[in-house]
Amino acid sequence: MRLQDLPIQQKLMRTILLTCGLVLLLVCIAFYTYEFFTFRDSIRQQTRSIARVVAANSTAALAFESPNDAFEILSAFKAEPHVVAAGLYDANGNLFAKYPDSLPVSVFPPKPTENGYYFTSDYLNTFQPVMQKKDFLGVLYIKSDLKALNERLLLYSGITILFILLSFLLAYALSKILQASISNPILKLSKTASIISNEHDYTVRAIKHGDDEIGLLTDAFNHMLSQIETQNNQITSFNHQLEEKVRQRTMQLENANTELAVVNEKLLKSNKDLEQFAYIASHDLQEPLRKILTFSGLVEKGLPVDDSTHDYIHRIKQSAERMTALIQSVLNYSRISRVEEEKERVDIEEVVRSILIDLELSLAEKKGVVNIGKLPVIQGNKLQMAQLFFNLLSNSLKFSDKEPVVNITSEIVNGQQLAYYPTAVKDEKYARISFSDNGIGFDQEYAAKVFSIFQRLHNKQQYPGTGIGLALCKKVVENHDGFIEVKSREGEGTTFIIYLPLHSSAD
Amino acid sequence: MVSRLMLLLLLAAVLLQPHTLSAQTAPAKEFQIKAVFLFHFTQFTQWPATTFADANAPIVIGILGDNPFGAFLEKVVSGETVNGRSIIVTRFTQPDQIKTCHVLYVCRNMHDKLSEILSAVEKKSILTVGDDDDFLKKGGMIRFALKNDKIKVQICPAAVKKTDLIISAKLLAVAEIYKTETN
Repeated sequence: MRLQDLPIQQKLMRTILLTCGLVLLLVCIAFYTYEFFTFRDSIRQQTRSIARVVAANSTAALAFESPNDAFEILSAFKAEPHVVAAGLYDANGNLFAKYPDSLPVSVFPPKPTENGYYFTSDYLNTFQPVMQKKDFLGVLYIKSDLKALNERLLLYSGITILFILLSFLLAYALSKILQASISNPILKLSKTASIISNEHDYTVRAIKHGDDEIGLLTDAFNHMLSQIETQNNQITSFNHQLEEKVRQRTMQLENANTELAVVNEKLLKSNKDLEQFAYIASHDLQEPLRKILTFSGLVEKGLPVDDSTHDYIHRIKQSAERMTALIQSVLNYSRISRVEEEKERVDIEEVVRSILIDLELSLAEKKGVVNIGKLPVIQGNKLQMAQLFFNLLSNSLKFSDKEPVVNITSEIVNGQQLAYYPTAVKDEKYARISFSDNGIGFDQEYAAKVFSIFQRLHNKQQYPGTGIGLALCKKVVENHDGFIEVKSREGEGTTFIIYLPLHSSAD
Repeated sequence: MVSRLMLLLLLAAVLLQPHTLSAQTAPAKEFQIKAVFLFHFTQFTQWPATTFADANAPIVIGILGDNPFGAFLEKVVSGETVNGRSIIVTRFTQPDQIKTCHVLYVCRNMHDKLSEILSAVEKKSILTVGDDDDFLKKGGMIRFALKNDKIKVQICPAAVKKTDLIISAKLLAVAEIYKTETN
């Protein structure tokens, strides 16, 4: 287990014990070392003092060659149990007297070495010169046993170890008691925290134990809790308000939707009614008109041409004919709107060519020229397509002040290029049919108006027409899920662009 | 110390080659030891300052009688100093020749004149040393006694006390103390 993963209790415990142990150990080592050296030194000093006294006392014995006296002097070492051997060497370096007397000569160094002292593992060897005044008489040798030192150091070691053990135990017991005062509040705090996070009860508060750092932490914790509680309440109330608002808005929307649906329903119904009305009205209007036409024709034939009545009747007949055409147009328009006819394969080029045959006379009369490029084959209604191109071509022939020239071309474009039409299908391929003339044209600002029903840009006398033609064209293109647009400039001609889906995937 | 070592070497040479040396320079071993002892006495004895002419005046060892040391004693003391004083040896053949000296060795041949000699120097702070059996009895201070072939120093403290001399307790410790019957 890593140190940082240990519980705080153990961390504290270890810290205290480690610190105590280390300090104790260092103190003991210092104490031991101090004792070792001071004791050694004191033994040395002591021996040296004794050696000096004995050496001073030995001068006469050496000077007057009295080994008995020398032995007597050396016998004083009886009082010093740690002196295991002592010897006097004369000026020539020969052993003169030894203590104890029983000790063999081999124990002593054959010759005194340099004055001073040296330690071996168990003994201290001291050499002290014997001088009378300044005259060198010999050397005193003392061999001290360090057993006492070693025994004392051993005793110290024992005491030290015992002391360390006892201190350690005491430190352990104390730290066990003391660490509780630090770790318990922390444990309680963390317990409180876990209760709060588990039960999401932010009304709980931690109990403060004192004014120390943990007390501050507890305060901060409690403060945080009260803030969380306040914010929680705010968030909850905000949520409620929001929910209420959403509910209200949803209700309003639903109401509006319902109203819209109702209005839509009404609109659809009225639209249908209107178309129905237009159809019925137009259909029923034809009957009396036919009678007006028939009988005005009969009256016209029976009257001489120079009779003024003839002219009136002729005018009535003309008006009736125009009205018939009008009604027919309205009928066509409403039929396109009403009837969903079956789609078939339509070759636009073929359609255009058959229209050219129908309009052969008008073209010849106006000396018009129609250039046809390659035109596509589409899925659609042949009759409606014929109506579309018939209306466009009639328009071009009608709104011209010179010999009309019409160009019809086409190309294939992707649905993506028609992104400005929201209903355009991106994956679909469209035929782009361009239909341009060199007629009188109109100002581009009227471009949207030209496709409206009964909308006329020019007066009836100069350019006769019903005002339905282009509206019908738009209707046909839209019936085929296509788009029509116009570009024009006054006096420079007009270009209609028709996009028709190829429904190639359906082939 | 160097001179002492040289002396010892010389002594060894004397002992090893007796034939090449004259009787004068090679005294008996007994007297060699006695000569060294005489020198040592100067180390263990304290004379009053009045006995010296000045601070550097030498300690004088006087030999009265037929001089058994030859030149050996001079060799022993040559180069040695005691309390900064050198040691010189003077010889007297007759008691009336005795002049200022600090140690007076009385030879055996002065046996008959002992009382006269000793009473003459009694109060002069002279350390008297002799071999004669009656030397201490007649008022001498230190006597060389032969015991078991060893030279033993005998001291009569009573005789010393009459003078201003101070003999080291250490010397007294190794010496045999002679007590006069009168004391």
